Amino acid sequence: MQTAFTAEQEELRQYLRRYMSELMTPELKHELVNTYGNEGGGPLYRAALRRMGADGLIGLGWPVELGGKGHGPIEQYIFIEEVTRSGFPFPYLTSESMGPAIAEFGSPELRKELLPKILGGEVVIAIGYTEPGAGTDLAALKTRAERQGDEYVINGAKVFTSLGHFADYIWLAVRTAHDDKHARHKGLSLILVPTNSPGFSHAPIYTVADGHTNQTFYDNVRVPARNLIGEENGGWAVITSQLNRERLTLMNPGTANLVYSQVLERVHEVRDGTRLIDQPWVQMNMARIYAALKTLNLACRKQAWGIAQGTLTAAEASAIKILGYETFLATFRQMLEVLGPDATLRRGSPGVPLEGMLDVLYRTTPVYGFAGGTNEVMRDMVAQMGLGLPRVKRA
Amino acid sequence: MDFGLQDIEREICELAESMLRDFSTPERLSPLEESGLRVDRELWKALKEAGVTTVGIDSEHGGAGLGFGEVCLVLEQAGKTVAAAPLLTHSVALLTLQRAGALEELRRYVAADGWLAASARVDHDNSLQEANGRLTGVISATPYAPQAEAFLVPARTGGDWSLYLVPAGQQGVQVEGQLGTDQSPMGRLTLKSAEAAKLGDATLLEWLRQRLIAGSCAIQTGVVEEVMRITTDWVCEHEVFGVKEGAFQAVSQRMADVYIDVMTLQLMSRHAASALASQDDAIADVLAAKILAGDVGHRVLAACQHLHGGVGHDRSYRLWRYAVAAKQNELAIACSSEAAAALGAVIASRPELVAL
Repeated sequence: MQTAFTAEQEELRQYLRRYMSELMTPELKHELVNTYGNEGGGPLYRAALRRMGADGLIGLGWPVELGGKGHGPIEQYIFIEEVTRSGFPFPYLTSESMGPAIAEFGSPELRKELLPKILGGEVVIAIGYTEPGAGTDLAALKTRAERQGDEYVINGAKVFTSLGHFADYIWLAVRTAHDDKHARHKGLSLILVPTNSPGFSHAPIYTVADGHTNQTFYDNVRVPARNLIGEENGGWAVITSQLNRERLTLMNPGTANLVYSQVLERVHEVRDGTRLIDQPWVQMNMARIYAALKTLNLACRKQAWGIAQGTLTAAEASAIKILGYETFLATFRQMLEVLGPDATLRRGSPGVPLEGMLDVLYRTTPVYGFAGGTNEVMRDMVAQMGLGLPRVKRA
Repeated sequence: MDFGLQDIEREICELAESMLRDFSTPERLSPLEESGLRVDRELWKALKEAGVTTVGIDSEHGGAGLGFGEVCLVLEQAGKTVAAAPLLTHSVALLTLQRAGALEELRRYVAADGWLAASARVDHDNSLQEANGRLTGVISATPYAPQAEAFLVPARTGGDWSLYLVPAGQQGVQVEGQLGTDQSPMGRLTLKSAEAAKLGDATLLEWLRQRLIAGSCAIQTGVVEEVMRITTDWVCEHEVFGVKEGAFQAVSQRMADVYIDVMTLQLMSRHAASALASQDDAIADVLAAKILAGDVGHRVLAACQHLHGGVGHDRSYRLWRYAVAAKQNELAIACSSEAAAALGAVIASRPELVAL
């Protein structure tokens, strides 16, 4: 077994680390942290994203014929890890998940129009799946789209449309068949909705982690039929393919590696002749944190390698998704413990450690228990596909 | 980057597993366990003849010339089969002789019928002291010490630990039989001015210790893999309230956690083994693997015995030997808390080893 990157991959990693640290200017950091809840959307954020596009950094894993760099999943993984590590809220789903799905399922016009824009960092796409009555059970969604001539007319509402307040498009799951002949998930379609369409609106949902997600509303929104992704009533295949791609980006350890490195540095700082790491309990915490994060890093690297080899199973991917969540939840807590009572300080307070990042991460992490597939369903998938247990009956 | 097995590694696994499975039937194991010396000498002879005990020894000394990674793959098979054979202690002891350049001794013990027992413990239950090339004192719980050909043990000269080779069957060497929780033979050695050859100083002792720990992680990996397999069979066959036990979501959720635990231990254990194959010292990742080996062994066995109900405790069913093997591996060398404390000390003194 060889768990290290090759020399070229290591070089790419170092290059990206340098590039991203230059990209993250103090002004950009200030904009991100103070104005936009670290989610992006401001003018400096948009400019940085376009710069990454112009420098050829978006779509490393896309095929050359689509304008990408044709790199493999391991390089793609390195890209995500290093960009996450920099703290820049890169819209991964747009370039790593929806972009490739548009390339696979989109109409020729849409591909021609959108793929270069995604590669150029000019476009951010938000996902609109969840509805007030349909979250984990996506097949129960009610937002409707009716075909009228060359257009779809969309009516309905979504919740938790993250990035929806500044995204250029919503990757919207809608119901296009309403008769009983179509099983619930067979009547779904996927439509790309421009957010400048008349009838589209959004309202904020402020989250416990100082973030911002949205309700989005669709009131007779008219969208050209060429914005249909895949076939009408063929949305389920598009959604599952997109969710599978999403899992590679969701549990990347880049952010955890970053805060771990900062905490490691901090516990070695000498103050009044002593270091935090000289205390036995701090040593124990740091040991447990290292063991858990090293394991997650290896698991994620193996996942990227498995994708490159074509051997990654759905059970393994689901297991890593669960592992990532559990690891973040446990290690962020152990790191905060190490920081002492200052760990409770919020971002912006004088003396706040790590610019308050760890506090925000710890409040954010519970989202990963259900985002990208809730962990109970993931566990059922692991048990059924990884071990061959009988299907769990759902009422 | 390569997380898979090479062809040669797959062949070694298959060869070792099939031999170990053939010999590790309840019919063969039960009488050995009743005899008090859980070592299958016929199996041991077969393993030696097939070269399974010397996978990591250079070919010029009679081995297969492979690395520590392959040794640990063999140990995984020993864990999967709860084999009655001193594979860990003997394989790592031979590697240590090779590492120390004690080639005459290496050739002797490669050729001998018996096995070597090795311990790396340097705590208060090892009082061995060296004086004029002879050892005196007591060391407890050395695995497979009864009837071993010789012992690799740490002893102090003044305050410094070194590693010694002590041949059995000489005057001044007394071995009292002890029984491990997994029913493996262990021994309390009482030495009185026993002849000993110094193999190396604290660096070699640490070299041995890291390999004993990594090897025990490999055995634990095999143990929990097999436990997962046995329990999967059970919940897929056994019915409760007229449905298969595995169709309850409470059961499937628990089995998924078992799957994740087994996956992570295998990954960290193989990573530690491959690190030790290419470098003398991989202390941080060896200790990280051992933290997992203890925790995972504990959790997987608790879940799997529980899912079996009373059957998981019944000595006529196949699970119990794995339950005790997991406890042995969890506690025998560097339990999770000890490994975490040791890793914490490494982090305090050499943070460059734990960069992420």
